[in-house]
Amino acid sequence: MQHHVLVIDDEPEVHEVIRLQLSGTRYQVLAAADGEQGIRLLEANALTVDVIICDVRMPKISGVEAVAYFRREYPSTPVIVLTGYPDVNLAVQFLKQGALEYLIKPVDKEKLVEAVDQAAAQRTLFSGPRPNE
Amino acid sequence: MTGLSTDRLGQGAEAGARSGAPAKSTLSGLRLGGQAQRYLFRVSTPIGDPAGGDLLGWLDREYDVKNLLDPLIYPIRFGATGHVMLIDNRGAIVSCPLLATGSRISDWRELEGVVHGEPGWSTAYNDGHGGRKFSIIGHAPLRTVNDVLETGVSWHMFVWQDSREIFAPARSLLAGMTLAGLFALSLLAILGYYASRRIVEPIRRLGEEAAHIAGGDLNRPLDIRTHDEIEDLAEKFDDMRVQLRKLIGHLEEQVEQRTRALQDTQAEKDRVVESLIQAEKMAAIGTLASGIGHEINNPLYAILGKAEAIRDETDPARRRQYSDDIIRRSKQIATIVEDLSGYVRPGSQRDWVLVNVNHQLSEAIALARHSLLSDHVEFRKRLGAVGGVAAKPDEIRQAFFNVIRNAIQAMQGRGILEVASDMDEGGIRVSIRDAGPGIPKEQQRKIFDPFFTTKGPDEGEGLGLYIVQQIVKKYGGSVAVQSEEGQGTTFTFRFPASQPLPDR
Repeated sequence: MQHHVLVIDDEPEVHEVIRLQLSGTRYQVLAAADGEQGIRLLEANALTVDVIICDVRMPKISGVEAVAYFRREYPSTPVIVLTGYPDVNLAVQFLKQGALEYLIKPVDKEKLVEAVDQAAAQRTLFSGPRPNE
Repeated sequence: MTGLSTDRLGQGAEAGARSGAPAKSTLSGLRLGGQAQRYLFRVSTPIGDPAGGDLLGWLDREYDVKNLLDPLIYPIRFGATGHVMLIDNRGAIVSCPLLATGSRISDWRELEGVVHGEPGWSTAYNDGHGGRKFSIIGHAPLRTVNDVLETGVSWHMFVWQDSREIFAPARSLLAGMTLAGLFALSLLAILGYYASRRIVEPIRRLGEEAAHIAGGDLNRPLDIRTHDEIEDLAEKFDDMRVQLRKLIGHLEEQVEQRTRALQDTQAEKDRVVESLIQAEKMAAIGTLASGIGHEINNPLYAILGKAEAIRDETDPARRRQYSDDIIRRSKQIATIVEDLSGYVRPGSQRDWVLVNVNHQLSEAIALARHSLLSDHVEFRKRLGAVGGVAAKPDEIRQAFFNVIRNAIQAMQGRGILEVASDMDEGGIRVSIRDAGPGIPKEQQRKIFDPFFTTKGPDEGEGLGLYIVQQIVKKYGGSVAVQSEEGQGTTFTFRFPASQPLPDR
């Protein structure tokens, strides 16, 4: 059984760093450069995506719009916001939209894995254990 | 002369005696004779024996005709000088109360015209008595006498009066009129002098004083003493001057007060604008901090992630790759810090310098890049060679930054932003053009008003463009907006080029 983390960020290096930080865990990274691509990837991998990690500033669809969409369409898939903005107002805005966590870059490996694990656990809590587990 | 028959005239007594004919009394003709050249005539009478008839002799007597004529001529007088004279056609006096008989009229040639055959009047500059005065002469030939005179001789009456006497009434009239005219002229002159002294002079002075008052000199008292309406007028005028002085004194005081008040108000406004600019700058720094967070935290995250990877990685090639990434990202952060150091340079905001407009424009763009949601804005710079503006550099940059930030927000963070600078005869021109939706016509007038905003309550106070305008005005420039809905918006700044630095 695959466990995917969908990473939506316009910087490829962020995809790479998250991949590195999640190496050695059960999670595999699905990388999307913008919100639209993220939505397509999520539709295609809805069952295996445990967690969505989403940036605030993205081309085409803003982070807030993307989170609102995910929470509406995929309410059982938790969203972690990972951003460079140390902005409380923005954090509150995202949390109101239903984001589980508002992480500010840089995040170390330990903290990221912990956040992803917690989020994944929440998803399990909502949707129940998967049939083949 | 009675009894003188004309047929005997012209025959001399001697001729009668010689003829042997019976003796008779004879009258011989008029002739010019004697030493004094007088007209004479001779009477010859035979003297016979009263008893017989024998001729005893002749009684012969020559008479001067003057003696006969003078009693007839002399009494004809008129006026003081008017008289009659008898002359012959050669200019010799026959009888005249003034001139000697037989004397010649001087300059006879000029008077020859009076001795022709018809009576009449003539004029000449010769009075016939030696004077050269203008004379009117009446004349008439004595026809009866002329019949018995020797051939070629004729007598003429000549009436003369002194022209002074003739023209005396006219002259006296002329003199009277001249006198009256002179008197009238003198009277006019006196009246004129009086009028000038009494009326014109005070009015002229009044005019002079009015000119002084018009010139702003309100301290000269007006003293005109004519004891008439002009004095009244001058007094009113002086009252007016005094009132005017009071009024103007009061006015000057008021103007001074108002000016002071205005200066205070202006100073207060300047202080408010100054602090607004400062506050706006701090707000921009806040935004910037957030932007910097993003700018720096992204590379920092890469550095952290790569460093963790190196720690866990055993493959030297990979470790080297991660190290290179870390170095690259660290340099990127250093560049960002360097970019931004100008913005928070301590102490710089107090100094006026000759600001390089292009440099501040580039800094404003860098700030916009680092600040907010501008990852997907393409900046197109076309900076020409422009002069400097005497200003505080921070404020010029802030003005540009505020407009650029608005433009990026209008474009919702994506699109092309064109920034250009050039110079023309009006000075330095900077234009910032966005590809946003444009500003509706009815809003264009208001965009520079304080607190005018189209954004939501949490998104801005509406002071950005107001501050832009205040800054630009402060440095003698202007800012204008040109916008068409759906066509984007262009802000155009103008600054006077190379303005000398103020002394502060």
